[in-house]
Formats: sequence, C-alpha cells, structure tokens
Amino acid sequence: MAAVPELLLDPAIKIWVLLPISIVMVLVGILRNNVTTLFLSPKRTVPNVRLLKEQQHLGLLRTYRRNHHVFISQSDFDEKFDLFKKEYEFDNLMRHYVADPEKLQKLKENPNDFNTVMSDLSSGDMMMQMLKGNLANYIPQTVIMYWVNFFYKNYIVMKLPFNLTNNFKSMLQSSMNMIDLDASYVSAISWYFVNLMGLSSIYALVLNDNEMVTQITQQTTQQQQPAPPTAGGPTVDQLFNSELEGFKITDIKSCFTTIHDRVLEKYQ
Amino acid sequence: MPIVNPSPRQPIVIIMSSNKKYLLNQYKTSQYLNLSPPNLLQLFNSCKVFLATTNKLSPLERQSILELYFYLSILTNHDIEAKSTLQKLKESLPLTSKSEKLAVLESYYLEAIGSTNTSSSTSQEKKDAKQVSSSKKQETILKELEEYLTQVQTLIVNDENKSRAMSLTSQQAGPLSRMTTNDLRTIVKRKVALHKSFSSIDTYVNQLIDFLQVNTMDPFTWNELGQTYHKLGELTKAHSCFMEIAVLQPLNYKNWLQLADLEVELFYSGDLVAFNVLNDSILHYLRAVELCEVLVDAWIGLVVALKLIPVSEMEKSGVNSKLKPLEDLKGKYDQLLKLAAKKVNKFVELGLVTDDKKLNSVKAVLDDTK
Repeated sequence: MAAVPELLLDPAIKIWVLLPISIVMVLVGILRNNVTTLFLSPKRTVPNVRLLKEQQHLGLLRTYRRNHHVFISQSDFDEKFDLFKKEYEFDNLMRHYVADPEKLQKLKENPNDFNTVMSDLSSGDMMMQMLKGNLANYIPQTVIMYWVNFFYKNYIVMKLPFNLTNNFKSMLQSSMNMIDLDASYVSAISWYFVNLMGLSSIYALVLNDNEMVTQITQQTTQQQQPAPPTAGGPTVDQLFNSELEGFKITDIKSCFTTIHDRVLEKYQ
Repeated sequence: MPIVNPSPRQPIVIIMSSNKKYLLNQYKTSQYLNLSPPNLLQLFNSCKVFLATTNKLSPLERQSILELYFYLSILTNHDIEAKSTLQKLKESLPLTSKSEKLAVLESYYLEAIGSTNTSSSTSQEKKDAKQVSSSKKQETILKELEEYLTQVQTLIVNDENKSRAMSLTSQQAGPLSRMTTNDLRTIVKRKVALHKSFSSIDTYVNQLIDFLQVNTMDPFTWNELGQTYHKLGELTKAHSCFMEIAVLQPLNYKNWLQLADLEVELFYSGDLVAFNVLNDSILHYLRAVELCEVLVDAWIGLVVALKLIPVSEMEKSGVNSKLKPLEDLKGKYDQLLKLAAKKVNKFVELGLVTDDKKLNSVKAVLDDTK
C-alpha cells in the first residue's frame, strides 16, 4: 500500500482553531469554578444539634471508660453504668429520630430498618443536590462540545510530532471517517477531549491553588458525589450499645487505692 | 455576664505587665475574673495603653485582646469603651457576615447598660421606668435580650440554610443538613446564662439541665449547675454534678476540693452514711493536694475531715472502708493529720490564709489538733 502523503496544515488553524478551543476551555473551567464557589455554603463548623447530642453522649461514655480511675470503688462505677443503660435504651434514643409511636414500635422489632429511615429522610435533598451538581457539570460541557462540533467539525487541528499506532485513531480522530489518515493527526473534537482530561496543570499554573484545581478536575471528570454519612454504617443504637458493652466490662483501677501512701511519700 | 468575685483563694500580688503574652494569657484563661476590683481596673488600664500603643498584632491577636478589653470595660463599668470596642470588633468582620460571638458580646453590653433602648430614652421615659417595679423591669430586659439573640439566630440560620440550598457542591443533604436556631450553641448558652440574673433559680436550673442534655461534656455548665444546686441546698444533686466534672477533667484540683468540701457538708447534713462520705471527702482532699501542693483550702479541709472522721465509732460498729481495712487506715489517718496540720501551719506563717474569719477558724482547729 502506497504511503499517504503528509498533509499540509494551514498555520492559521493553530491561531483560529487550536488556541481558541484551549483558551475557551480554560476560561470556562475557571468561570464554572467561580460560579460554583459563589453557591458554595460557607464552611461553618456548626454541627447539627441532634448529631452534636449523639457525639457528646458517646463522648461522655468514652470519657467514663477512659477516666474510670476517678471512681473510688467498682460499685460506684457500676451504679453509673446502670444509669446510662437506662438512659440509652432503644426507645429513648430513637425518639429523637422517629416521632410516630407506631413507626418506633416497628423499628424496635427490626432495628436494621434504621438505616432505611435515615436514607429516606435524606434521599429527597440528596437527589436535588446531585441534580444541581450534574447540571453544573453537564451544561457547560455540552455547550462547548456543541460549539466545537458546529464550527470545527472534521477539522484536523494538529499533527503530533511522533508516530502512533492505528489504535489511537478512535481517540485522536473522533468524528472523522478517514481510514488511511495517519493516527498522529488530531481532530478538533478530540482536541476538546484531550483538553477536558488534561488541563489540570494549566489550572495549577493559572490559579496557583491546589484545592481549587482538584475541585475543577473532579467536576470535569464527573466523579460521583459521596453518599451522606447517615445512609450507611452502624446505627446510633448499635454505637451506644457497643460503648455500653465496653463500659460493662471495664474493671476500674481507682487512683485512690494508694493515695494515702502517695501523699505521705510526696510531702513528708 | 461574668461577675467579679474577689475570692480569698486568688493570688494576692498581681504583677502587671502590658505585654502581649500576658494579655493573651488573661484572655485565654479568663484569670481576670478572679481579680479584685483594683487589680481589674489596673488590668483594664494596661490593656487600654497596650491597644493604643501597639500596632504589630496579627488579626487574631488583635481580636482576642479587643475582646478581653471589652470584657474588662464591662466589668469596670466603662460603657463607652465597651461600645467602641464592640464597634471595632464588628468592623473587623466582613459586612455581610453575622457572628454568633458578636451577638453574644452585644448582649453582654446590652445587659450591662440595662436595656436595649436606653440610649434613646428621654427623661420622661426614665421617670416612668423608675415607677415600674424592679422585677417587671428585669423581665422586660430579659425579654428584650432574648428577642435580640433570637433575631440574630434567625438571621444566621436563614443565611446559612439559603446558602446550603443554593450550594452546588455541598455534600450535606437531608433534614440533618438544615440548620436550626438550636444549632447555634454559643447563643443558646448565652440565653441560658441570662436566666441566672433575670429569672427564678428553678427556671435557671431547668435551663441548665436542658442545655446539658445536648452539651453533656461541658464542664463549665456542670459546675454552674452544681453550684446552683448547692445554693438550693440540694447537696446530693450538686455532688453528682461535681462528679461529672471529675470524670471530664480528672486533673481539675479545684473540682476535687469543692467535691470534698461538699462531702463534709453532706456529712453534717446526715444525708449519706457518715463514715463513707467523710472517707470519700478525705480521699478527694488528698487528690486535690496531690495535684496542687499549695491549695491551702484543701489542706485545711483535710485537717477538718481527718478530725471529724469517727474511727473509734466505726471500729465499734464494725464498718469498713471501701478501699482498705479500718486498721490500716487508722495509722495513715494519724500520719496524714500531722502532715496536713504542719502544712497548714506553714501556710499561715507565710500569710497565705488571708481571710480573717478563716484564719481564726484555722487557728482554732490547729490548737485543737495539738
């Protein structure tokens, strides 16, 4: 088969096609990120009161286990355990989540449904958040892709300075149906995809902010948003039960056992 | 609002220094709350001079010292300075942001001047105000302050929820992500504290209990509840509160001291088994002196508790200690009494017991020991 003669690319293509696509993509990326930042909730550290309550009570149980030495005798510690056991009974804990007594009874019969309850509570808003996130990513990309396709369809914008095998044709020559064309020629739409995936170093150079670069890269590569923490993992009831189990088996070592001798030794 | 309580346990000499480290330490530890009025005024003046002469401060340091200056202005009745400091603190924040802390500071100022609209009141209004009974006036002030704090809470919550709803990237979702006024715990705590000055003691206790149901690991609130129960004469409940602090802050020697003092009171009230409660108080005094040698009151308490403990009666009735056989403890008690009496004598000689009434009681106890 005769070799395909090398194509002569108009140098104006670089200025009027290659550069505009790259510049537009960089600018749209930065613009989208700034728009997103405008909508971003301020990073407050105020936790929800219900979660705070859980954290505080779990923390208190852990503190009791850690500082068991402040009790004089095991019976004092065990008295406290009995109090906690009563306080953190299933009903007492769950009524913060489920107000309806019937639902509470059902939940009591099958505690594993707790996760379903929590995910039901959060699913509506979660869907909305995902929808908004996806719209923010898809709309600009679709618009740019349409723009590239409309103006520069079937354009060869550049030739790579090295040879590639034919397997790269599908990647570098999207939308071009030329079997004999060498794989090192890049079409406009492929240049768009290459930019989409590989602009992070340009963003790093322009923005000089690693956090923002990661954010833009994640947006463009369409990563899945993580699920809310409430939709999985152990239930509140399980967490408290596990802490109480630990509490139950704690053998206290009172700091008062030898305190008479210690004080006499220290100050006499 | 922090109240100056010149405690006899405070250090007598306070070396004033207008350096940054000293003022920041005062801010961080709130030691100024234990100063006597003249020392407090001196600290106020030195803080004023420092702020007027020093420019090289980071924004955080400046805010901290301004906040300290604000508290000092309130405590020393310098309303104008307090207002101007509050204004400076407001200016240091972006115009759009609402701050929980600032709202709390503003409420301190409003409480200090007595009303939210004092500045605008005419002489006629002032005359009318005099006719209103003081309890009604207090109710009005409480209502106004609560309304003000609720307003700020609502504003912060609305802003936050709005921005969360508009957020494209927020990973929070569900009803748990919606902020409520109850989430702003600094303001909630301040609202609870308002009841100390303006409501009945029972209301205040209920408010404290409600707050502790969420912030159950807050030792300051436990202490406040314990002190309030103590005032009410509910000694057993106060004891439970101080025990919570002991678990949360095992090295807090002042808490061990107040726990032991309370146990001596419980002994006198006869609420609990005499030997056990006194034995516990001895152990807690010992823990306090082990952690802080110069805690004079703990040594004095130890002498008193060791003299009170009815060992011979216990021997007769066959009651035993929780930790050791009574026989073993008897010898230790004697040794400890000698040691504690020696220590107290030394502190009296050094002039560390400043309160005359206490000094007389201590001397009487020491004479009795001899």
